[in-house]
Amino acid sequence: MIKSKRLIATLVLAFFTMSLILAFSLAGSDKVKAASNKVTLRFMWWGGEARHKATLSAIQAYMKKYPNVRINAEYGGIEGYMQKLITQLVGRTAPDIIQIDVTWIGELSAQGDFFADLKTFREVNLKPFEEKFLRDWCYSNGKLIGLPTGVNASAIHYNKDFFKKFGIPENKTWTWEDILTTAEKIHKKDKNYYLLNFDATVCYYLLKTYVLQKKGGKWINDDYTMGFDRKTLIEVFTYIDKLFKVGAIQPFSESAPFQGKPEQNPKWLKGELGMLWNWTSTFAANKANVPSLSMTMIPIMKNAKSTAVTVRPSQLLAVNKLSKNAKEAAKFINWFLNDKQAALILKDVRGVPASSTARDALEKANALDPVITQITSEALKRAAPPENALSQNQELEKIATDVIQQLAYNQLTPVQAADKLMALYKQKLNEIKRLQSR
Amino acid sequence: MTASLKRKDLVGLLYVLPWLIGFLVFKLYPFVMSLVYSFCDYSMLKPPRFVGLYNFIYMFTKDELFPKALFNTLKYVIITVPLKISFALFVAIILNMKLSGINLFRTVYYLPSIFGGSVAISILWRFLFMKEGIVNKFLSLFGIEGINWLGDPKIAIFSVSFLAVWQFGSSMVLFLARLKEIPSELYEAALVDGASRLKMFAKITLPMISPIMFFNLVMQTINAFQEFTGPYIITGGGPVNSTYLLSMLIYDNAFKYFRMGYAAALSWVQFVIILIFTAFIFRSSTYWTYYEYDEGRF
Repeated sequence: MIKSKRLIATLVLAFFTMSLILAFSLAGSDKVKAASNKVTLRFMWWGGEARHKATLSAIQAYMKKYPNVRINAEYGGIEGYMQKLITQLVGRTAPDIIQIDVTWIGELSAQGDFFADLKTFREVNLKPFEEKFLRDWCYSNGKLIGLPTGVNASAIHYNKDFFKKFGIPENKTWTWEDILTTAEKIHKKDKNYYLLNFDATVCYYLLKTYVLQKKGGKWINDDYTMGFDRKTLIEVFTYIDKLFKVGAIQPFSESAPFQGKPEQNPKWLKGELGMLWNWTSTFAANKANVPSLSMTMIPIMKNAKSTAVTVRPSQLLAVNKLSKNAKEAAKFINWFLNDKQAALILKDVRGVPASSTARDALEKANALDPVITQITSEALKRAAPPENALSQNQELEKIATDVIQQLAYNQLTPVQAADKLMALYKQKLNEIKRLQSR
Repeated sequence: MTASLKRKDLVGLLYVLPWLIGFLVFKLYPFVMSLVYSFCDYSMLKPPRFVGLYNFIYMFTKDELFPKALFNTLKYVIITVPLKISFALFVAIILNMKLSGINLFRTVYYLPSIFGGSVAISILWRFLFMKEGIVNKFLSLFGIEGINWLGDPKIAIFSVSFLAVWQFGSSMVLFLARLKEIPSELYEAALVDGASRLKMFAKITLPMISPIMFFNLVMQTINAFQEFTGPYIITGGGPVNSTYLLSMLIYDNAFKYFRMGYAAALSWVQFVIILIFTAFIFRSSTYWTYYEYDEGRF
């Protein structure tokens, strides 16, 4: 009895030892590969179908050009991407090349030093990029965190058929008043139709934009105070309230299942909603679902203190600081963003390229959607300075979207909404200040 | 102790080692660490900073969403658990009858539990229950017009509960197994005495399945308190936070705001609440469960 048990124990032990040896030898063989100039890079990004396809074929082309490099693609949707990335950064298992969003830089750099300084690499050519654009968005503590994949602007996506149906001229320059009066007319004419496809998050953009155009400055100041006053806030909430009352926005009680994803709203896909406030980088994807889609500028009020037009990098490509092949990773990023061949494969799957060589290549090949080029250059002319990290804080966004929902459901009046938002902001800002003060 | 016994112990230990390592690393360590973190500010990227009871005080005095999430969670539990268990029992009783092709039905009724609270099913649920969805189209055939399943803050919590009730399969299988074990003599004797069907159900079936009822009640309560996927995907906590559950508050704080310490504190409060409810069910069970083999109980 004991003998057979001992035999099994020995077998189990032997199995464990074997697997350990096997694991080590596998790790060892990786090292051997590296020595013989073979490089394996991991590249992680998020996106939709079109972006995945284009990126994968770009990777294929690169591996064909440089046979010693192997690139493993790790891709998916944006949902949960940042959580995964943070976990990998903490666990020191993040990929070599990482697509990141500019809004994360503030938070990430406050917490640690995760990315290589791209301006120190000979492999990277920075000349094709506009210097101010890099300075505004891509630097943190004097380090170039990542390179912009594209230029992305906030814009209004509108349905041309919808405009035709209600006789709205397409070349119109919109004001906030126009939106209200036009929307009211449309909804009176046919109560199935609404001009705006806005959810709570978009209403929050509207709120910020309106306040910034009126007041200038920042939404949240760097000293953890609010950059707006009660009077202005009441004015915007009154405006938003009117949008709901006149039927400019489809009631939230109907669009509830599509909060956070208005572009999936069946009414929008059917063409019964006219305008969607979104990014230029999502235009191609949205147009695939609504073929008669075009774009126009967001409304800007007269004598605006700031245009509040956001023009920012679509995403950044960064190199992991812990990467063993940082140079090769930088070389790939340089090819991916600056090379003509890459540009022609990738086209505008990450918005209009930020690199001028890539942009020129696409323009020569007529590969850019003229609407995107036009809106991007128009937005660039009126671009507002970038927002600070605090103004993009997620907890503050949650508070605002909750208050907006309560307004939409008639649980709060505009005055109550303004007071509630300010009270909750004050408390939350104190809490954020406490957390960040160390 | 002799040397040979010690060696025997060692062999035994070796056998349980894989499980033991798994338990220590993946269960005990996170369990202990989450308690430690609940007393800290911790953003994952920076080392934790001790703040004493601050997280708990903040939770009960300042966090606007905590009472709301707690209330919603209790509502969710109170709606889903009784509904799910009674529905499971109802179906089990039907499936216990001797009908032709019953095995096929048993399989079919178990299917929803296999699909479970997966993402795909939740998305399907969203399309079924939206204002112009299939459920409303179906209801309109009977003249019931436009119930706003997901858009009305008063109704949404029921709509997401239905998804949980729909996954009644595992409770049902347990009930069914127990129902099959009830000796038929009992029913025959009752029949001879002229008992009605209802009386037989109350006096024979219910007492006989009470241990399984107890088990299901405990398990379903624990599960319902931790529900996340379904409501998160179907409504995202909306409208106006009416389906915002504790688990979502924990998730948001942990992975959206990177307040791991606070999220850990919330988890511990959730844990204690579940513990209290479970203890209550255990205590009360002495009065309503019946075990054939032990008159005195425990």
